[in-house]
Amino acid sequence: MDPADRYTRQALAGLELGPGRAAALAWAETPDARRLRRAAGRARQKVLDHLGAYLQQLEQSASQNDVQVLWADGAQDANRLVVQILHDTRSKAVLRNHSLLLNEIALDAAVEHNGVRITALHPGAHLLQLARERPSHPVWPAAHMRVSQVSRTLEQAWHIPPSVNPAHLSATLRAPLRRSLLSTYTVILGLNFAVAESGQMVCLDNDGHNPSLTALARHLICLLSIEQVVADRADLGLLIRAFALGAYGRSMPGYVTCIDRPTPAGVDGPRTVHLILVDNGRSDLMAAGFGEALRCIHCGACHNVCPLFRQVGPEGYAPSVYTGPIGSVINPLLLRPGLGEQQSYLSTDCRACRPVCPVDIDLPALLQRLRGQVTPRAASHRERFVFWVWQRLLRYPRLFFPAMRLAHRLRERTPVSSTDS
Amino acid sequence: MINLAKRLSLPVSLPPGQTCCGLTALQAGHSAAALTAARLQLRLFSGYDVLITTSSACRRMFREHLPRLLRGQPEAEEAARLATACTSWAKFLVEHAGIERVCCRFEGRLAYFPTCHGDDEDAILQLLTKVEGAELVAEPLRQCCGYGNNLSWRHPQLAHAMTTPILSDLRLSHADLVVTGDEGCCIHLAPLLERVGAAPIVHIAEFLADYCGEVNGGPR
Repeated sequence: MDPADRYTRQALAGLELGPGRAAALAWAETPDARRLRRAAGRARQKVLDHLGAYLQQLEQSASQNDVQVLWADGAQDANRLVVQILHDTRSKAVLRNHSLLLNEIALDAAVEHNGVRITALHPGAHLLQLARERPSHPVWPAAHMRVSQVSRTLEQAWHIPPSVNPAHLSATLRAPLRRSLLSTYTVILGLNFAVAESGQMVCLDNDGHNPSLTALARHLICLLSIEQVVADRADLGLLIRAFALGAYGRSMPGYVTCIDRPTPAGVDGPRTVHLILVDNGRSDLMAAGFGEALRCIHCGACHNVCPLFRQVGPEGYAPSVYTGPIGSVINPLLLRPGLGEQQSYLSTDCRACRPVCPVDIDLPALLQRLRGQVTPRAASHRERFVFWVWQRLLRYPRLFFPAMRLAHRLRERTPVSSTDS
Repeated sequence: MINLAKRLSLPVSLPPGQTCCGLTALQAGHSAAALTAARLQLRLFSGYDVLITTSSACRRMFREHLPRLLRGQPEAEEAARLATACTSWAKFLVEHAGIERVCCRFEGRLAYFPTCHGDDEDAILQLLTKVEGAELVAEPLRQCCGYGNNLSWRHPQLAHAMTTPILSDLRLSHADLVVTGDEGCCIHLAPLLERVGAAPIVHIAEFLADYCGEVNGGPR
């Protein structure tokens, strides 16, 4: 696998200096950091251990709030349900938030295929729509783009003159988004959490696009990845804090958007609210014994510190939208067999991701266990042969070390592109 | 390391027949091969009270993976014993041999390169700050060099790309010598540092052996 181009690598290296550093400082200033992490991990694990029961409870409480709850097994089912609702509400244009779940099920393509225009209100996510790229990071979806690439994308999409001024580019990008916000009445939201006890649906962000979306929506379609259900309000508070610390290095996110129920006529707010619960391979992943990975609340903390992620860039995790260390764990299990397996080797076992996870996922251990399962079925004949010989030579130091030196020299002779330091 | 240990009158030996701890196979997912290596280790080191490795990654193999791999097997007890017996040279020197007995002299700037699995960082830094004539470069860059988990073998391009920030950091530090606690990092970084004209990298054990002038006092 080749490294990403140097612009992508430079851009992604900024994650550590920005949000990565902020998170490290914020955790250091949190007096109960260790306990908070453990408690957040337990809150997630508790739900995963009894996922069926919590989902049923969520369905009940949401239904009592007049939210229509639907279930989707796979990505296509979810898209079909969304398209049906768009058809029923006669929506010709919709807005959506930034959410990896929506990217995962390729909602944009499905909606557009049915003649409905879909626009992401989040500037980064919208930029990716224009560039037709996948997000590289769960919180900063266009983290891999540099100013010049933003400029080029806008130039190609809207034929505007190039610029090197980030503020100008940002304003250019936001202007049409504001206009469409005022003229669009159907909104699709990928949720961060939903509370089983109360049926409350929650979105977190730091730029305010979620509250803007819910304030003006007439019809609200919410999608939840099944594992992101939360037991009660106490756990919700804990996880919001954990997310904010991991994602932004703050004790609270800029905006917490809660949706309870549709509003009656005469009051501002959505008339209809749908909740679609999406499985799309999660049940299989849990059945395979890797449920711990689904504790993930997609805060991006592990992305920010991963030295390999910033070299590989988002393309290394294709075709999944889940990148970074958590991507290397869940992609081999979520993607079609054979597609993501090599990603489990995208690790140097440096363990930088271990201490930063706000929900206490042992990513290095999960990766290690996963490779133990992937290797027996996916290793190349060459690799099998190498380790077969290696195993035979273990008892013979006189052969072992010359053989290792020879292997090292052979490997050295494979051409390696020069590193631009 | 053996030389210095002998000069310190430590009863040290290098058991013959050593090859590999098996971490490389374990990380690559070849569990059966790793188990073969693990069993061999147990047999080799069963008679020793302290086990010193020069690689912090191997140490993790002994301390964490071996007991886990051999859980429920007849060798489990021995694996658990080895896990506690395994330590690093720097740590052993500081904790048991007596740091004051090792007098090193180095004229120039020393940079310490932190390793990912380093559980002996404090000991190494204690040893390095005590070196006479040396100035220790502050705040080293903490990032994996890219060697681990067979990445340098599976994806050499990526492993090389990962060294980029490390190479520039070490070059800008104007260090005359880089000291680290893991052999793997040395193997990976040494040729690249040479290529960019930066300071050479040595293992702490090598550094101590090369720059230790005199050994004071008798064994404790």
